[in-house]
Order: sequence, then C-alpha cells, then structure tokens
Amino acid sequence: MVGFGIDFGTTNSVAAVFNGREVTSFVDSNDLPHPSVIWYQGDSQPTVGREAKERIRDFENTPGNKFIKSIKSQIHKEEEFEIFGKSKYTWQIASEIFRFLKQDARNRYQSFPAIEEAVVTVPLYFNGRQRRAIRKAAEIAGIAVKTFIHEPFAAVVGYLLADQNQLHTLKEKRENILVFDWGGGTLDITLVKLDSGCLYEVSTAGSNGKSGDYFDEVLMSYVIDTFQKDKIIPSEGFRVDPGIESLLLHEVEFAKIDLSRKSSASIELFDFYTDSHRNYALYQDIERSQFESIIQTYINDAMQLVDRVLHDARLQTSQISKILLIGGTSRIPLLISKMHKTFGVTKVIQIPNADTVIAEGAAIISYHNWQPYLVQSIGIQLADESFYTVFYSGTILKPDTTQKEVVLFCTDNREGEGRLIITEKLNSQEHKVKEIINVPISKVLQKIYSERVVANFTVDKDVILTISAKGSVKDEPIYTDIHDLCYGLRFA
Amino acid sequence: MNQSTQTFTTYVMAYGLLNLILVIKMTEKSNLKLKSNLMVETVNGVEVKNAREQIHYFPGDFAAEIEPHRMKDTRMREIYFTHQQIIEYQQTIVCYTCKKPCAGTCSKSK
Repeated sequence: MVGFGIDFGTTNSVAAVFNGREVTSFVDSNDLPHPSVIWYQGDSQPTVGREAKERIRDFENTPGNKFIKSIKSQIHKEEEFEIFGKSKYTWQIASEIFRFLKQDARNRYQSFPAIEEAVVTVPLYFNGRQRRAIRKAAEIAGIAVKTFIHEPFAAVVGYLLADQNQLHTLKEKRENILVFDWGGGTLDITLVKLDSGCLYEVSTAGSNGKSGDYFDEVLMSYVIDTFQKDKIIPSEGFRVDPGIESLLLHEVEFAKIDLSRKSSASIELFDFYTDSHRNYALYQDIERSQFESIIQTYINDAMQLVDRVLHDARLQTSQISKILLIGGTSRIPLLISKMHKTFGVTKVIQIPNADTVIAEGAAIISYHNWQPYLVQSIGIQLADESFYTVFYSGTILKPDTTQKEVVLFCTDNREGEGRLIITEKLNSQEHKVKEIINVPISKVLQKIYSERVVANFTVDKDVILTISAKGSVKDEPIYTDIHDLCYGLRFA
Repeated sequence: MNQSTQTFTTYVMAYGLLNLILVIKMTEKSNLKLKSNLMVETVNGVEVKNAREQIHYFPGDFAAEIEPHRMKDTRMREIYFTHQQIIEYQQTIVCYTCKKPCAGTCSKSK
C-alpha cells in the first residue's frame, strides 16, 4: 500500500509517494519540481512543466501559442479563458497540471502504481469554492482527492516525519511551529500549533507577488541597466530581443540561486545585444551584497509579517520552538540571518527538501489516512440566546460524521420568517455569526404551534458546510454554503 | 440673552436630544433583529430537552396575542407563562393615565 500527495502550487507543482518507509518525490530530470506552466499550441495536447516554462519568452508573442501561468491564483474565478476560440474554465486548465503530474510519474517512476487518488494541499486562505474547483481539476485528470490539507500542516508533517521513528512522539508533543513558506509567487507565514496529535492554525499572514519570480525580474532589470550603463548605450531605441530576454531570465534565476550559496555569481550571454554597429556580449558578475541591497525592502516587509503573526497569536519569539523555512526564496542568506537574529540560530530550520516537503507531507498523511477535523464548533443561536452545537470542535470531517437534521420550532411568527443564525464558537464566551438564513414561514398567528423549520447540515469532501432550511410556506428549501470552516489535521 | 432666545435654545437642545434618543433606539432595534426566533425540537429525529415547552419561549407581547385569555387572567398567567414573559407583556400594556406602555413608571400612575 502507498499514499500519494500532490502539492499543486502557484509556481511549481509536484507529487510524492509514501510506502510506509520512505518518501519519493516525482521531480523532473533536474531534481526540481515541475513549473505550473501550461503551453497551448493549437488543438494538440498542451505542454506542461519545465519545457513550457522555458519557451515562454520565445513564443509568448507568436500567434498560435498561448501560455498560462499561475492558474492556481485564478482558480476561484468563474469566468472562462478563451483558448484558440474555445472557452475553458480555470479548473479545466488546471486539470492539465494534474494530468501532467500523473503522466510524468507513470512514465519516469514505473516502480510505483499510477496516481488514482491523493491528498491535495491547499493554502490556508483557500475557501470551499477554490477547493471544489481543484477537486474538479484533479478528477478530470483521473485523480480522486482523498482530502484537502493545508500546506503548512503538510509541511510540518513532511518535516517531522521524515524520520518515521518520530511518529510516536508526535502524538504527545506540544509545540508552536512557524512555517515560513516563500516560493516563486507567494509568501505564506503560518503559526501552527502541534497539540496532542492535532495540528491547527493559530495565526497567519502573507503577501502575493513580491516573491521569487518577482526577484528574478528585478534582478534582470538591474543586469540590463548595468549593461546599458557600462557600454554607454543610449536609452533611445535600446531594446533587448524577447528571445534573448528569455535566456537572460533563465540565467538570472540560476545566478540568484547561486547567490544563496556563494558570495558572487556570473552571467554570460553571447550576442546579447546588436545595434547598427556591432554585437555585444554580456559578462556580468553580481555580488551577493548587490542582490541583497536590491531586495532588502522585501525581506524587511517579510520580517514585519512575521512580527504580525506573532502579535496576532500573542506569543513571544521564545515561545516558538521551530521555524521551518520552505520554498526557494526562503534560502536567501539575508533572510536567514534576520531569522537567526530574531529567533536564534538553533530554532531556524532550513529544510533541505524545501521544494518537495509539502507534497511529501501530503503523501504521508494519505498513507496514514489522517483526516481533517473541525477546530471551532458550529452551532445555532437560539431564541433564548443560548447556543445549540451542531458539530463539536474535534469532529472528524468525513461525510458520515458530519450530517445532521435539526428541526426547530418557532417562537414568534409575526414577521413571517424563521431566523436561523449559524455561529462559530471562538472560545467559551464568544460566538461569531457565520450566516443568517431567513426561512419563510406562515404569518398566521395560530399556526405558530404547527410551524417548523427543518434544517439539514452537511459538510462535504471539500470542507464546505451546506445548510438547507425549509419552512411550511415554500416547497423548496433555502440553501446556503459556508466556505471558510476552520479545520485542522488530526493524527489517527 | 432674552427669554424668547433662551426658550428657543432649550427647544433646539431638546429636539437634538430627542433625535439622539431616536437614533439609539433605532440602533437597538437593528441589533435586536439579530435575535433568533427558533428553538431546537429534534436532532436526527431525537427530541431534545424542553422540546415541548414552545409556549415558554414566546416573547411576552406575542404570547398575549396567541393566548390572550390566559395572559389577561392574572391567576392563569402565573401558571402558563414565565416571569420574563409576564414582564414583557406588562411592558406592552398601555397605561390608562399616560396612554403609553409605561409599565407603571409614569408620574401619573405613581
């Protein structure tokens, strides 16, 4: 028996498998995760992954080619993409990434069975609609989603259970772990609490855009500006060929990665620029300090977000036991040194398999069949201002455990509606109203004794709470979905 | 400042105060709208405690509309309704002297 996990990322995606002893990530031939880039060329099957990414600049502006990047960040959108005259929903496009991951694993890792079902990871801020769209995408590719797990939880599991002997101690541990995930497209900082076999989110913060891919663009602009100044080329008419720019971006990305290990990196490109007189080659050395001065503001912004996460959780740095650095951008030495200063050297962990740890954690969760659970109770506010708990905190979110029919009588029908107030219990004192459903009921006073509101509560596989409520006036019930249930991960 | 100006100022202030009270009352009303008018009877077909005490959860004024005879009879109201419901009902009774639902607080009834 094996368990599969899929990290469907904004910039990169990767699948992994766990067989009970060791985890294997289905990376590409360069030992890297697959870029989440889809390249459509006419009616043929699209190209996905590194090949697609490397051709963006060459063919982006050529008719008959369409590239789609970062489809994950657009998955919530209802509108359709126009691809060579055909309309496609975002989840139909995203399905190409799942199809590619499945096909690539089958072609290159033949000792493992095909991916038929998997635990898929999602960011904390993803709501039910986004999860539902991802499920559709996976299902089109022939992959059933066992369950959705938040990315930071999968990262913690992937890191802590890299050594399977830790499994027993994990159920007794109580720790606050800061997961700092800075990849190509987004920065997600999450404070996770590990408490007696449960993992849940305490506070979170993040930002979009100012991440690895953006740093590549910034560094590329710096290189081009420096080249122009060195060669004293006038700005007027100066334009680097898009194909060459594509090569440069590629070189710059590798230089940036090099600068995390070395104090300087070189970029060389022959025939970089041609004007009416001559050809220019590009030879440029970039010092780490130069790169750091370019991105310093963004590093400071990231550290401010760390402060905010701690502040929201009302915790001091001393109360954090581990800081897991995940994603390529978190390898930048300036960031690491700032983390060391804030938390101390021993607590900051640079995960060596930072690109694949989320998928690996998901594979371990899938193998053990661990389930998400409800962190905060869901209830109904009643007429006497008490609360009836429909689903208790700790309820495992499986279809058979999360179905309830509640029949309510009415205490006042003068307004002709039953007011069903759905709440989430924040603590012993506080309830937060999640939804108010006004159910039409009879206004005839004497019908008060026979009037009933029948409410059905169901949590589906996408962790969406659906409530249907019906009174006597209308035949059809009113449906409401709650997409932002707070859920954690429970070890069996 | 002559007497007519003073009287005018007093009127303006009183009008302002009245407006303020109205605003506060309206806010309270909108907050009250959040109150539920439902109580649980059964869960997955199983009856919960107090499921048969529907009448005890009616607001007092509404209880008086539904069961006027029981509410108006002082002896019966003690049997059928809760203390809270009786207070709520009494607050809606229009006072004979001040012609408002003063619940016995107006100066005339004292």
